[in-house]
Amino acid sequence: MWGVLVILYCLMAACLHAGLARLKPEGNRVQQFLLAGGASGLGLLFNISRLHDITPPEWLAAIAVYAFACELYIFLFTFVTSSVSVALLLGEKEAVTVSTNTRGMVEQRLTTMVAAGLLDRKADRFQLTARSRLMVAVYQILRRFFRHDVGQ
Amino acid sequence: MIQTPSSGDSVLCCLSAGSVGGHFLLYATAFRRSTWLQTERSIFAWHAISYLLQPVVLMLVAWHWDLEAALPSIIFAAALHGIYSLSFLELWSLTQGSYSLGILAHVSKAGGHATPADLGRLQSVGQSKQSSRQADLGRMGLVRPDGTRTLAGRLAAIPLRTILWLSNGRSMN
Repeated sequence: MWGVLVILYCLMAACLHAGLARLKPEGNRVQQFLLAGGASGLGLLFNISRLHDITPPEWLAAIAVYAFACELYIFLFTFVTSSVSVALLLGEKEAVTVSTNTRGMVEQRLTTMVAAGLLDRKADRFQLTARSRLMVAVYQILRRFFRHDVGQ
Repeated sequence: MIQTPSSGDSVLCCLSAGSVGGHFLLYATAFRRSTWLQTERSIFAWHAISYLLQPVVLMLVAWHWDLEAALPSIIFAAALHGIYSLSFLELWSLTQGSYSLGILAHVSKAGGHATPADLGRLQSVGQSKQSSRQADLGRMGLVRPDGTRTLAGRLAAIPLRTILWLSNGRSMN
């Protein structure tokens, strides 16, 4: 029974997210999903706590499976919008071709990053915002931790 | 009404949380410095093997109690490991090759501000990224050498388009 509830609430989160994304297309998709997924998660918690004779492992499993499904969905929809491989695979041309317009690719990223509040555009200069400075600091710590900076 | 946990359930839940913590500690203290965990393929295998092994080990442990009753604990363990591995692999690949984070690091290196001309140098990064991804798609059998999509490529595009439609997003085209 708890398994069915988890599936239903996962579907509800995806549907709510689809609705929010259409109501406010310019909004941040991850924030919209956190809202939809959080509301559905609360509904799931309420419903499974009312189930008779549910054991603690079943309760934990329901919450963990729901959280994993939400994380997987966030990963998937951010991946399809930002992955170069997906862009090549979903391209409208008959053949997958490397675009010669990489200038456009950089400009598109910069526009997206300005819209997301990661860069400020002032008098033809791009500046880091307080949020992106923090992101760069965390990025550099993690690069050292994963040893991506070795040999560079 | 939530029942009280049995000792078997408690052992399995502690084991699953411990195995995730142990996996991370093993990486952080020992394998992080090894050269064979520096590629995308090997780090994915490191997580996939552990993810597949964990339920088998837990089933063997649960054999002494009641395997059917232990199923929710094993599902909990798999979900917990999934959350951990997905977060780890996302962070690993973001810090390895994210284009956006690369741009931010480039601006940071330039003193926190850069002109469009400075950032124009990133075009070569964009082109090499596209070329390497196209080669990867070829190796995965999703595109042919002439660039046309194979049947697998067309089939792989269906769920991707569905997710794109559902989230009302746009790919980078």
